[in-house]
Amino acid sequence: MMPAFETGTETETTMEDFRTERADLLKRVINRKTAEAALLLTPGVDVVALAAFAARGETLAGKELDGRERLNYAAIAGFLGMFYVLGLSGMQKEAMAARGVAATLATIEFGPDLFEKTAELAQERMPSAVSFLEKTGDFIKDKQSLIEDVRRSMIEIATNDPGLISLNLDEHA
Amino acid sequence: MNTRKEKIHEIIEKLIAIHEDAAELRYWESIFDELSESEQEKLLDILEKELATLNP
Repeated sequence: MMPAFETGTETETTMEDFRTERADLLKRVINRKTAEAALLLTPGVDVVALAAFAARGETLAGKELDGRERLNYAAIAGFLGMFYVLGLSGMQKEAMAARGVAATLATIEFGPDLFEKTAELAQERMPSAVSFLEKTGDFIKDKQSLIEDVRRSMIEIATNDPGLISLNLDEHA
Repeated sequence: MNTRKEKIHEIIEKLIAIHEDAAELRYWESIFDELSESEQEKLLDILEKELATLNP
């Protein structure tokens, strides 16, 4: 079937509108998956704050993003958020307290190692998340400059707003 | 009768044929089984509306 109109501004605007809707849906999916992981693995973590953190990609850089960028940001921020949750699981409360999100993200080595490490952590600690993380990793792994951009923004937010991810250490004890 | 997954596959093929972002749509297709029932419905709804708008 032929398209109703040729690719152009009007078509691209329509596509951007629907990509934005899908970016919002992906944020909800990532919120849910991060919350599930945090509930299962790290009972001391404030699930609501963490889930929100994982899905804040669209506004991290404080600039207007189009639908495609919003979706990419949500996928990358969600992937990094889940990597953080998986990394926290099984830690003693002192270790959790010492492992702030800004410090954790600052030490991540990007490249194939990040995806391998995430897959290993998921396989070991939350097998039900493996498939989602592998596929999200495949989707984002060729977006290295964007990943770096999102990581810098997440570190900045975590540094300026340390309460964003709170560790309820009393409950965790 | 088509399953929801089959419907989504058909719509995605049509959207890619009219130059929607193939990498993004393939990603959605790959994570379809990871979505909840309501998330699957929402995805189908968005894709159907996009196709109807672009290909009335």
